[in-house]
Amino acid sequence: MSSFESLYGALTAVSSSMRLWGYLDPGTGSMLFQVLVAGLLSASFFLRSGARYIRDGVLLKLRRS
Amino acid sequence: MTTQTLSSVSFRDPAGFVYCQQGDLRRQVNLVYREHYDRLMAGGLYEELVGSGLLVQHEELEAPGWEPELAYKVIRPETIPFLSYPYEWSFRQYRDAALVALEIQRRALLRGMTLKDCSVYNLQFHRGRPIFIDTLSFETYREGSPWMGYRQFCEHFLAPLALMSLVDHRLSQLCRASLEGVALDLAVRLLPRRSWLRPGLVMHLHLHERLQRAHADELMPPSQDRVRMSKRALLGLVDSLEATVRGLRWKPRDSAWASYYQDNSYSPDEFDRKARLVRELLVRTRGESVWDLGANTGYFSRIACELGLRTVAFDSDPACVERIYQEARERGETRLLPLLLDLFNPSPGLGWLNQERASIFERGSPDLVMALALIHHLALTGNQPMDNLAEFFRRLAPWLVLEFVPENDPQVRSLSARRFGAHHAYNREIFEKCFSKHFLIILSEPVTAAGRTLYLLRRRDA
Repeated sequence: MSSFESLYGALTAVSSSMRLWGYLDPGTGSMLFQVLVAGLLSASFFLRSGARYIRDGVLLKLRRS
Repeated sequence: MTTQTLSSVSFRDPAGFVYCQQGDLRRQVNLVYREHYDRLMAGGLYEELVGSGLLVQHEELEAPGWEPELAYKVIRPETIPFLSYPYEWSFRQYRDAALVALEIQRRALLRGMTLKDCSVYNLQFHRGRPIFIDTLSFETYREGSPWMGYRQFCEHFLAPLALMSLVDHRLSQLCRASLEGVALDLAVRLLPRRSWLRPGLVMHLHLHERLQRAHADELMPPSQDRVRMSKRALLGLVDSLEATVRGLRWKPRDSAWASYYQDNSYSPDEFDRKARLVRELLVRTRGESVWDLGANTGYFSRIACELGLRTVAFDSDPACVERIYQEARERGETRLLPLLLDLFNPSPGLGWLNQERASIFERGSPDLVMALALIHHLALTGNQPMDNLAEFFRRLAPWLVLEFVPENDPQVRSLSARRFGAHHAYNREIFEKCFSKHFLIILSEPVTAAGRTLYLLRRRDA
C-alpha cells in the first residue's frame, strides 16, 4: 500500500469518527459528567421554567388586570 | 488577475474553511456540512440570531469555492473591523462573551440545533457587543446527545472567568499561553478553597475535573447508549452555566480608578483646552479609524467616537479597560473597542506557525494613532531610546497626535527619580529630532503652563 493510500485510509477513518463525535475532543469524562448531573439539571430547568412562567405569565397578568 | 489565499488558521473544522479572494474574506461550506447549513438557514435560527445581533451575518455567493469538488456553498461573512482575543479583554467583556455563547446554545437547542464546539475565539466584539462569528459551528441536534462543547466552554470561558474573579485578573493571560483556554486540572489547582462554596463552580469545574481525570486514559469515546441526556437537561445545563457565570464578579481596586481623578497634571482650563485641541486635530486629519494608545479612562477615545471614527482604546490597566467598556455599554457606543495591551509585551502571533492568532500589530492599520501623555512612560519606564519610539510610531499609522511631556514635568521627574536617571536622553529637542526623521511636524500647541505640548505629525511618505 502506498503512503498516499495509507494516509487516505487514516483520514477516512478519522472523518467517519468525526461524523459521530465532531472534530473536537469533547472529553469522555465531560460527557459522562453531563449524563451524571442530567437529572439534577433537568429538575432545575423544570423548576426555573415553572418559576419564570408564574412570574412572567401569571403574576404580570394579575398586576395588569 | 484573481488572487486567492487560503487562510492558515482555518483548518480545524472539516465543515469548511476560510480563504481570501481579491481582498475579500470568503468561507467555503463543504458538502459534509450541507444538512446542518440548510437547517441553520431554513429553520429560522440564522435569522433569529442575526436579528438579535448575536451572529455575524453573511451573504451567499455564486462562486466555485477554493476546492470546488468539496464545496456546497461559498459565503461572505460581514467584516469585523478589528479582531480581538480573550487575553485582551477586560473581565466584563469576557463575561459578556460567555453569556452570548450560552444564549446562542440555548436558542439553538430550542430550534433543534446545537453548538458543536464552544471556542472563545468564535466570539468577537462588533459594534460594541460580543458577536458569534463561526457560522459553521451549528449542527443538527440529535435527541439524547450531550453537549460536545461543554468541556470547551468550561475551559475557554468558565475557568478563566473564575480565576479572574476569585484570584487575579492577570490570570486571563493564561489564555495567551494556551489556545485551549485553561485546562480544568490547572484551574482547580489555582482556584482558592472558597470556590467550593459556589455550587456552580463545584459542579462545572471541581467535580467535572475529577470525572474528566478519572477517564483521561480512555482511548475511545463512550458509546452513544452510555451518554444520553434529554434536551431539558441540556437546557438546564445552559441555565446552570449562565447562573454560574453571572455570579462571577470582578471589582478593580478602589485606588485604581480613583487616582485618575486625582491627577493634578492639568488645571480644568488646561484639560478643556487639550480636549478642544484633540478634537480639532482629529477633524483635521479626516481619518476613519483611530488607535488610542494609553487610553486611560477613554475620555479622548470617546471624542474620536463622537466624530464618527472607529476607535480602539488600548490600555495596560485592566481597570481602565473595564471602565471604558462599561461606560461604552451604558451609552450604547458602537464604535469603541477597549482592549488590554501592554506595549512593552504586546500580543504576539500564536498557534500554528504563529499565524493562528495574529499579533496585535498585524490585525489592522489605523489612519491615526493618539498617544497622549504616553511617550514619557515608553521612554522612561520602558527605557526605550527616542529613535526606537519614532520608528515604532512610523510603522503604526500615517498620522500621529502625540502629547509630549517635558523633562521638567512632575510626572517625568517622578519617573526619572525611580530610575535613578538610568535611561536614554529625554527632552523636547531629542524628541523633535528623532521624530522628524519619519514625520513632518504639522502643528505643535502647548496645552499646559508646564510645557506639555500637543503635536500633529504626518508621516513623510503619507
